[in-house]
Amino acid sequence: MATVPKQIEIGSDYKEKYGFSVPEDYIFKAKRGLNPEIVKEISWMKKEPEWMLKMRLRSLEIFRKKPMPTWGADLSVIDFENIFYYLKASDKQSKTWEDLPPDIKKTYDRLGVPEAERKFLAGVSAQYESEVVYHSLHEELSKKGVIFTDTDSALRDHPELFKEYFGTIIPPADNKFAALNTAVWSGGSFIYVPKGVRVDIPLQAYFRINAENMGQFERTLIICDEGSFVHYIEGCTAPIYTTDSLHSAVVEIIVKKNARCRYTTIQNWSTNVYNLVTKRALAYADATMEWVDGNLGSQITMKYPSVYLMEPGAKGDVLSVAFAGKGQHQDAGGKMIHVAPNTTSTITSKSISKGGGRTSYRGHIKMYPDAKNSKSFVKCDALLLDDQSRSDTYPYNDVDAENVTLGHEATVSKVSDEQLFYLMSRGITRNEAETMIVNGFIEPFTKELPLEYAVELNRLIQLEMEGSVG
Amino acid sequence: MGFTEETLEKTGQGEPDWLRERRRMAFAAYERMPMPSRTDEEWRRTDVTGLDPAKFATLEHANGHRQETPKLPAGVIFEPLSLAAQKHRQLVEPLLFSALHANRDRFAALHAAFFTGGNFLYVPDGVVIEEPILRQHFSHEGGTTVLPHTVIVAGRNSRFYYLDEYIGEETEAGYRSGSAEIFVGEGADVGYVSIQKWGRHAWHLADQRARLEKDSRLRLFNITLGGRFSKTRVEASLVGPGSSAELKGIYFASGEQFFDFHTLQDHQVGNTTSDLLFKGALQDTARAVYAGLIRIEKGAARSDAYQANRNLVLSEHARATSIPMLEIDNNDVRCTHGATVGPVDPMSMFYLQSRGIPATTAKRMIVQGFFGEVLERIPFEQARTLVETELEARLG
Amino acid sequence: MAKVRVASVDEVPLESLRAVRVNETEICLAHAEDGNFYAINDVCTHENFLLSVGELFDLQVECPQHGSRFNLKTGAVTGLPAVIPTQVYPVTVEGSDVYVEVPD
Repeated sequence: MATVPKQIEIGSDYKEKYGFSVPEDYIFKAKRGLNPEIVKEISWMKKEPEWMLKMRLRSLEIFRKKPMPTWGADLSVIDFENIFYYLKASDKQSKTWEDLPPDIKKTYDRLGVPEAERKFLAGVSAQYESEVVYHSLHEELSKKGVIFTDTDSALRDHPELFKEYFGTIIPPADNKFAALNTAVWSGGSFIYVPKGVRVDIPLQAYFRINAENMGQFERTLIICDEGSFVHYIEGCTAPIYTTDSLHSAVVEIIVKKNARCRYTTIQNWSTNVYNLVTKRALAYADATMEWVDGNLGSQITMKYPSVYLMEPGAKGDVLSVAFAGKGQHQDAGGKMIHVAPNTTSTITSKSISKGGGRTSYRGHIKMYPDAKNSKSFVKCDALLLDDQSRSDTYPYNDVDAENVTLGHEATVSKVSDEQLFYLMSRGITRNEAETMIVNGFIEPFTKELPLEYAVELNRLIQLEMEGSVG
Repeated sequence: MGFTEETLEKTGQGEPDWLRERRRMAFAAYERMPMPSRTDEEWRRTDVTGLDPAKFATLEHANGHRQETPKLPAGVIFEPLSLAAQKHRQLVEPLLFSALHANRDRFAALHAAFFTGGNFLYVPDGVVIEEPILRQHFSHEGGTTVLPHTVIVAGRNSRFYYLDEYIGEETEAGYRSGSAEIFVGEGADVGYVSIQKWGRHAWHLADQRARLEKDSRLRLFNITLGGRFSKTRVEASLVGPGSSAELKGIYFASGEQFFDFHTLQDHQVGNTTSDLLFKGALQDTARAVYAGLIRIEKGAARSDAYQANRNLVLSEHARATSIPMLEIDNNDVRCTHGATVGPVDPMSMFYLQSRGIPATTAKRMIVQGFFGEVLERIPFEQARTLVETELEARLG
Repeated sequence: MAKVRVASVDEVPLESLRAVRVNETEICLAHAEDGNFYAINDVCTHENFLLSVGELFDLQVECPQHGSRFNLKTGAVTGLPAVIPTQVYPVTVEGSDVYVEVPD
């Protein structure tokens, strides 16, 4: 029988596009499945303190007790027993770009990571499998007292700071996947910015999922002390694999008085990944928290970054972009919890569905009774590129406070025939025209990204659009 | 004592067997189903833990209450529902509780099992009734249950207006509904207004559901003013191309009133239009919950849907929840929705006061202006005047 | 103030919780590790789930649904996602009976 040409899926044909699929080469490879023994093994491998082992085991119990969510995407196909919960790529932590394993450097190469970005790699925490293997602090940062390390090292090297905050913003019982993450977490970034320190270069981390059926459970904790500033960028790309992978991260952020934190994500997992992430930040007096969140890849993403506006003058922003192609469901959004007076928030969501993809905006604005004189505005726009695709909007707005203003607006539309006609009459192909329109549609997001990311995002959109049929 | 088989048999006395059987089925559903829990999504913000319908197991029979009926054209049937069930079985049986299902929840089941009074209106093809049909439903005592049910059937190209007015004269707690099923035939044009003015201690749980055939038009206005607790579901299914539903609501809540609205704009086919706007003002410690959904089915291309909920918060302890939802399964559509919750605009207040208008008057003018956009769309004079008068009285 | 007998001492073993009611008020009765009884409003201020089916940690009760924690003595929030403090009520033990006082 003649070989059937393999169908190339949008966003997951990395092998064809980039020509890589790095061979598996692990020093330690855990067994599949989830049980107290695996959890104990992970904790033992990492030489963790007793309290962390206890927390992991309790979280596993909570995970087992909690039912799967009954709303949102269909998660019933996840087989938790068929996942690796821990992998370790190498024993030693690399110190410089040169020390990076050649295959990782090659991966960056093939993805076309721009030159400008490589310069930053000295400040990058690059994650290979579930543990940070490369990590080098810029000397200046170190001098300023900034801690930028992988989360495992932070537990070892900064135990008190770690214990004070870990799991306090997102407790294990928050949701089933936060419990799972707390039970088996590994890797992720830990950042502490001392009082008054501004970190001028964005701190970046590249994550990779590289093993079949491998789950990735990184855990990120960022503490911005009073008057400080940091911009953290995570970009995710993943090669193609044949069976489903699970990515379930937890990100906790504290932004103290007058501080500002921006957290930028470009998520482009291959389209077999279930991406179920809990992200929450606390913003204190006059602090600002900004989530810039782009979701292009994965089969299913469920992610609603939230900001708890705890003290007067706190400000929260979510800027979210979702692109769902064939077989994809992006269930994303944001939550703003106004606890104190004079707090403000905005959520801007742009979503695009194509080729039968589905995007859902899910949001929650809560104004507790003390949140007097607060303001919140939510704007959601959805673009449906064909009649196979779907878009949903589920905004929950609860106002229990006096003198607050809350607004929500949403539109769902297709690419306008007038725009298409106009562009095509100028000799642009339909596909190019649509790509231009989509890039224009998400511009409010793109313009918030560092240049090299913006370029990369536009290129990714182009690739997604090319993958279309007809 | 609660609702019993005996109450049920008494309620259905003199009714045809098929209807009695339906009541029994609904009663079984009522007994089987639990009260909604605080953790059910639809009821999360709507607390019914203090409600035990069994406490109000005495039924007030609302049949035969006052009505001002215009001289109706030949062929029009307008009768108490139980009478119509007997005389016009072929018309009533297939439709009664076909849009509102008894097994939806415990309250829907209770309503279907014990509905008392209410009317059946059938307007044959091509018949136009210029004078609006006005209907009043009264409750007289506390501690009772009053469950009127309206069924409206609009024949092809018929046109008419209908008003259901629910009036509570009691001062004690009681259980009330006031549901309507509206079947809008091809090319028909129906204006329906309901004004809920039950007593300030009443529990009100009702459903209004319409089904729109090809090229039909419905203008449905829900005015909610009464009750201590009021939950109404307003739903329109657009099943014929070219159909158009305008769903509008006005609510004014004060004291400790709690109002809940669930709306649905269900576009099952293409070339359909729906336009929803619910506007409410909240005073004192009143609370309002609005949750609405626009659903555009896969094949429903060239649909146009609009949904908005606007809340004017007049006091520091009033609360509002607004959940406007979209589920869009077709790309060739235009869907927009919005929600706002906010206080009286201080600039408008300043403007009016700077012209010598006292603060309380200025505030009242602003609220009236806020409702004006919906008021002026009420499709017939009598209802419009009635709502204006009611609002004026309540705004003080 | 309504002072109501809600349980016997034996019904609530050390380090356990029990749902009780005083008139319309749902209360979580805790027999904490310090040996004392505490009464805290049973309805979590976050999403209305019941604390009495949760767990005790020192002098805190944890909501089983999302992990919010409250101080048994003060009702203060000690763990997110709840942010609004809850009510606590005076408890007295007379002989083998536990009484809770709830304001009218």
